[in-house]
Amino acid sequence: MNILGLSAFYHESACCLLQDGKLVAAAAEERFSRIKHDPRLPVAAVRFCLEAGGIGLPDVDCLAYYEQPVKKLARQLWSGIPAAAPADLSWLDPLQPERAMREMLGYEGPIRKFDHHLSHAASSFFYSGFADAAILTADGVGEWATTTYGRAQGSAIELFEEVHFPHSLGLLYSALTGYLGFRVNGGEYKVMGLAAYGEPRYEAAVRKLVQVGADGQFTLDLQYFDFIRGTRMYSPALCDLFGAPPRVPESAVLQFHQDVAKSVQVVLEDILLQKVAYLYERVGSENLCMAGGVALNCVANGRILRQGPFARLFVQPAAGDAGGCLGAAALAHVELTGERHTREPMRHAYLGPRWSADQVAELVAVTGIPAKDFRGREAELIDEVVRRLVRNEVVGWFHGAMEFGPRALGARSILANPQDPEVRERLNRLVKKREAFRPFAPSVLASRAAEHFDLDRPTPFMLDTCTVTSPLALPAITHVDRSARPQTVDPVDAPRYAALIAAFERQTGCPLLVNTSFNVRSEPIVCSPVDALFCMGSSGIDTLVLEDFVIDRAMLPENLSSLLESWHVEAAGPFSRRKSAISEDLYTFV
Amino acid sequence: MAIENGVPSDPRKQICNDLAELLGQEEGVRVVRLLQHLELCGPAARDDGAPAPASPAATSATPADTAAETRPAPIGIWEPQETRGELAFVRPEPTLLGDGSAQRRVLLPKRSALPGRICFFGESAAAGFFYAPHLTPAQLLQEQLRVVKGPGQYEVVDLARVNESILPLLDTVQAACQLKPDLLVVFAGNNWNLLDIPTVSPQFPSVDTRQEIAESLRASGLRGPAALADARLKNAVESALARLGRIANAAQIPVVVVVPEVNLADWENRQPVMWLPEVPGGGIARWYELYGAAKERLAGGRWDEAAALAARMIELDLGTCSTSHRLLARAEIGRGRMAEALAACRAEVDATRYSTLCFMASPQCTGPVREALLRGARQRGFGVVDLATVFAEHTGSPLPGRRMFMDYCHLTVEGMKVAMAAVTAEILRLGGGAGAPAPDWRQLVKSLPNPQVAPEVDATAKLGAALHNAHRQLAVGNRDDIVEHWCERALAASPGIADAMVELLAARSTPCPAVLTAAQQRIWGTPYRLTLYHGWRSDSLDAPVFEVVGKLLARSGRQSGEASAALLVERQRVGRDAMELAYPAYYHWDPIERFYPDVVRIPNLTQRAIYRSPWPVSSFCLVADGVADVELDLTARLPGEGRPRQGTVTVAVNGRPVGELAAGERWSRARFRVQGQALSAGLNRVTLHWPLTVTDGDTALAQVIARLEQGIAADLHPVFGEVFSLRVQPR
Repeated sequence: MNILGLSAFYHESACCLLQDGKLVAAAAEERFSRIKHDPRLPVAAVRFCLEAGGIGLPDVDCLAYYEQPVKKLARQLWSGIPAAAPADLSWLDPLQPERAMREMLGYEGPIRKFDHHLSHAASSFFYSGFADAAILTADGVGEWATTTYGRAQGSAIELFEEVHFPHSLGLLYSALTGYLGFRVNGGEYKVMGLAAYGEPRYEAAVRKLVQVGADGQFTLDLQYFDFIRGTRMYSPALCDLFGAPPRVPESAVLQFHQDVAKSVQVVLEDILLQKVAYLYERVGSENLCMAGGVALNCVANGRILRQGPFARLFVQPAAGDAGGCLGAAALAHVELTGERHTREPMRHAYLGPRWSADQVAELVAVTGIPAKDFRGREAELIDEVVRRLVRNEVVGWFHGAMEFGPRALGARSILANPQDPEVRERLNRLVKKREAFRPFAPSVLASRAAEHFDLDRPTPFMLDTCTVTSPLALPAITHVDRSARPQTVDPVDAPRYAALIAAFERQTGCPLLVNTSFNVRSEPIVCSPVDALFCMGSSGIDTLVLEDFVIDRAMLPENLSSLLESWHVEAAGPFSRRKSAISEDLYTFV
Repeated sequence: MAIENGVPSDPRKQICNDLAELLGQEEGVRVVRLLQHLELCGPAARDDGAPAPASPAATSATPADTAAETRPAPIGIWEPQETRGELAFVRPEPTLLGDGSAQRRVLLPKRSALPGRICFFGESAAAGFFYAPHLTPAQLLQEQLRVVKGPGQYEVVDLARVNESILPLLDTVQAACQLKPDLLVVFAGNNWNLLDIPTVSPQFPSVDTRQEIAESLRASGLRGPAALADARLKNAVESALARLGRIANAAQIPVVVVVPEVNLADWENRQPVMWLPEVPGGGIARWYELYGAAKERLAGGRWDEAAALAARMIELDLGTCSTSHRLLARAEIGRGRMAEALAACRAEVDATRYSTLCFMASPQCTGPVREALLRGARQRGFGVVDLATVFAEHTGSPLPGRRMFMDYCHLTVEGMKVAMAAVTAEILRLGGGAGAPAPDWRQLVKSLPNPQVAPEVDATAKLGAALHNAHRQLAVGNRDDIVEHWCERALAASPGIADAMVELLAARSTPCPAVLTAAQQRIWGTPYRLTLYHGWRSDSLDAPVFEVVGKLLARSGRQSGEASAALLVERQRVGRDAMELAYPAYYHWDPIERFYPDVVRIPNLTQRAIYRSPWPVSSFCLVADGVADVELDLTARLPGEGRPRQGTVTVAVNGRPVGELAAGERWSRARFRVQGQALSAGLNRVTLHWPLTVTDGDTALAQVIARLEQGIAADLHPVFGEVFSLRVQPR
């Protein structure tokens, strides 16, 4: 049985394939289209999933869609016409998603649609390996729900309480993100990173924005928000409350901004802790599953795990809308077979396309870029890479199947020596070209994690934080509050990556590496070897490892960087995809 | 009462739930859209994206059109900077691959009476596409003025830009007044369709746009959308000229408008026909029968018969299809009836559905734009250079071709010289005053020296023209002739370019982007620097280029056909893995033979996962070693537009049938074995022949109108077949 799961038309479209209960492929469209957060029908991702499954479109038994367009429309109607929405009411068409699936995808079979938050819930529980669990989902908004509480047992999920729009933790956080001058629905994790530099001086102000109610409820004080019909998330009243105008994007980040970030982070964590406690009392399971965009707040997740009542926590690595396709597919499987598709936990997220060493060899031959060939000599390859890391080189690491979800986990990663005191500044400035305050995360051997972090469990998806306890000096990955967001690497799931880290440890005594996503600012993470070459050309990466090949930046043709940069700009053409009709100051509701 | 979030639920929510349920039914959205169309609900704005029509009273400058800005404004990509207390306009360092703008880095406001400053604006033709930055019309104009009037009298500031369109052009004109010009030259009109009014297309993602097109179809049938586009364009042109007039009046400087001519003899616009009514002796199937017959007659030199067939096609399609006009033009040329041929060529250009974004055509100045430019410029007392008149007289033919044009509108060296001679004459005529009368452009053409351009530059430009023709022209006849022509001219200009051609094939022999290839790096080390304007953006195997260039290299002895084929075979032959030919478009024989949204990404428009053919025949590239058998695995269907459709799809390889697929409206699949000896080593052509059992055009058009009224995209042209997959693998 072949089930295609699909998320599309809102934020971050994606596709997955469940084949006889096995998750064989998943990918976000942005990685193929090279348009960050691409919301359109994921045609390339669909074709990839079918190819990975060795099937054609007519072989798909069911297409599972991650939300209910009619219900969502009801909420949109109630909200009125947002200022940023297309004036021609083109969004007023709940049949559009299905029409697109039939006409643009060419799909002819049955389509099942599931509630947005139920899809989130399923994306977590059905991939957790738990036999039972409490479920918390939280995001900006789905159809009506912004937060849901549920219980799950075996193949059944029951969502027994919801918080409805416009009262939303996701929108609260996004509003402050916009106020702090970052991109709404894209910059929230920057706020999370910035929070570590601040003090919760404005906690009281933030608490005026949101009132916590009984059970799972909370309400936003809407006088401070404009996201329903305005052109930005917050109202002038919010600016008055904080006593300062919003930060101009790209301008200096001041202590004030750090403190506001800290304040909203603290309030979010407190609310989540309270609601998690409520959930625990209500459900009576020791397991908690989380999903929805708010679940990407790994600092909050870390606190939930440390201070909350649950013994175990599983957060879907693709906790945002892209991951809804996983949940939808899992729900369809239950409906069609009566059983959940697996009882095993999702051990890794390596579900995207891969390229063989021979394919890379052909690419290398065609480009004529000098590359060292280590085919059949993995140990030597690893030694070569370790030598470069020890020399404090920045390494673009491309190996195996691409990750699904927002985190790079050793398949499409930029790696560096965590003990190099300059690497953080260098990575931020030259390679990622991003804000200096942003911390980097480490990948650590699972077997050695507890020696360097306050960690007693695997965290393969980089979705919670902990304290750095390492005796080593690790400036690159230790945040200002001594927290880190590690990925534990298990040789069963990522053998080459684990071998690399192990070799690095043998050389340096340090069993971890800086791991940041293989992309530059405003670009999606690289997907193909060609993407990786482009990224290398336009960034400060010293070495590129493409499967079994090592490419030195110094060996690149002198003008390649300039060529790649101008190619990139000119390739956009007259209808540049970089232009968007949607404001970056407002969460898109339509 | 429902409680939600701890408070009584808003009762409107249930109303919204109920309304959403109703809208979730087929008729639900239709009702809303009809109410919108009648402006009874929803925002009433009908923003067509065109500049606001000029008010008849707006003859004097408005504050926005004057150069007296309080702050310096950018002039195109030149940004204002203070340097040693003085204002300058500085552009970024030009990119290696070319950025379409002139390369002069610093522009300074005029400081002395002489030289007289001429600011030169326009699109890619004005920017000297193919020859820039080595030779441009602006450079030629300055040189000609120097020869005629002596040094130090005139200076030409080149502000032309590739892909320029109306509004940005006028913004640049306005901003350029900061340079204190003495005269403006505007050489534009080719892009004054698509790039400025995309909102006339049924593909444009706007409910209002689609409803307007539906209305135009109801009111005027097949001619409706084009008429809508023409009206918008006329409006846009008149507004543009009005604004130009205000700018010029405010600055009190004269203007010369250069009305473009386009390539009529050596550029063809083959496009598929729209849905046609099913009338006795008519209909789409009949139209394509006539098409085939007309081409056959033309090939046989039977001009009268071809003309009659083409005329019948025009009757059937009501003159809406460029293809019919081109067939007629060819027949008239064959008959020696040049006036009739000219009329047919003009009609072809005007019928090309570039403006409605149905197909990827080529920007050519249309008749309505030419007329509007001529009329509007004369009314305002601008100087006028009508290149159609100039070129016709210069060449002795009303149908300018490759002598004046490299492709659809970009000029040859001779074309630039003649065009600028006419501009020089007009500028001097406007100068008036005492002294010798202004020279006639004809005399100037004779007396002025020919522009000198390095052989390598000339060869590179001509190779670029060959590539551009291969990539952008869909000819009724044989396009290879013109591609070969320019390749041969390139070799004649500089034989060393054969090396670049070899590298071009090497770069094209792999799916890797050309800019990354070692071949491109080697080209970069030669005097023949192929840039983005030499087709590097083309994401396809480029079969037509491969064939023509490969043949020429073999003929010249530079690289054998076997060697060229071997490149492909080594890198792309069907080997261990199956290859998908239909998606993406890399293996399409002519990637632009598709609907526009499948060729060019339109922001916010959903992409397709399947290949759709607007033609009865679809062709794909198959690279084989000529030895091993392969298997073709086809999954296809026949969209029926409301009526079930059945038929047989014939699959052929290199012109020989290999099998058939019985197809209907749902996906069908079949496999075909192709023996090695039926394949050539290198490029092979796999062709799908779709059945012409197409739905009645009236029914289809009614469906199109219904969809457009609902704000849903619809194709004005039949889709003959759809392919989900055409895989080839070793047998």
